[in-house]
Amino acid sequence: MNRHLSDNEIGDWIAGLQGGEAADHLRECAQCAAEVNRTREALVLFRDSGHQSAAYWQAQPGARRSWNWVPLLAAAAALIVVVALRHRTVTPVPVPAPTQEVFLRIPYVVPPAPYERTEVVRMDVPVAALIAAGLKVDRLAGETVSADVVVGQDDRPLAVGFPENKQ
Amino acid sequence: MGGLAAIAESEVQSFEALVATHRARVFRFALASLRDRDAAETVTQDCFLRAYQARENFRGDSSVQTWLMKIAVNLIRDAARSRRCQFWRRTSASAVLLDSAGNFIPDTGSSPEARASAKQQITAMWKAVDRLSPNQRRVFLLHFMEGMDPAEITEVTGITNATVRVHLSRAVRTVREKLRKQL
Repeated sequence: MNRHLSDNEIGDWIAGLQGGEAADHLRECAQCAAEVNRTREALVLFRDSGHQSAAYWQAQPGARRSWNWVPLLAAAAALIVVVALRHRTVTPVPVPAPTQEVFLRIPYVVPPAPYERTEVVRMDVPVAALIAAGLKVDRLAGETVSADVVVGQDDRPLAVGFPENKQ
Repeated sequence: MGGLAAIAESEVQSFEALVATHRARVFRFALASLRDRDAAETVTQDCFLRAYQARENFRGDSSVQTWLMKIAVNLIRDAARSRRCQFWRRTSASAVLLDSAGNFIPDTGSSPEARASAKQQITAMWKAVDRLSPNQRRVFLLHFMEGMDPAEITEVTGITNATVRVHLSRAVRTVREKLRKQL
């Protein structure tokens, strides 16, 4: 083989999908061999980081098993209630009129392409997530609300509707 | 009754041994796939629960490891489908941030510069893998993280061998392209 290996051939060699001819070329071509080695080294680092990260997280006490958090969470919840009572400037969720669309577009999200398939998924959504997404909600941040979420083809949330507001 | 209880106890003990042997691998694959510790723990527990419930049906056609990974792959697929929304994931307290992946660098006694470069490569690699399609990511992780060959991946995922090879080839090409752009 006189030419260098193509990107596809190098990729397939690394994935173990290429045979003899590529092996012969790699024995003779330092440039292609260096390219293969560079990717292989990155893959080894990736594998080792995955193994180490899993070992680390497995050794950590899980959040849901850590009972020491209970008093802390209770104190945080009490603080939120106190702050909420002192600053009663909550903004209500804009309730759309029946003729308007019942879904609120999530700000800063690219709208779906005309050909894009979307679906509506009902889920329990943390209020904190809605606030983080840029929506105004008249609930405490620690609560969860039932919502219908319009989800794009790549799983990005596009809009959210609240079943309780539709009635 | 005492005899039955003894059998049940020994069965549980042998299952506990199986959990001890394979738990780390199932958790690792779940964590790499979902990037969420709580979700990975849930998948791992469900995996062994399902395996225990279905232990009578295990005929030994494949290895125990392959059987467990097959269950895990299905559970991970369901978990990923049910979570759907990226911004729910972002706000999850147990989400393992991709940027933190670079902190887990094999300690080879290398120089600070080499470690910084390794950290950069690892972070870029996780980002590239995170952007693969679900099928490509699954096949890529089973091959490069878990060391499975295409035949084993076929058995675990139920995808044909030819399709596994196509996914693997495209995944490697995409990851290499993304790495080139990021580094």
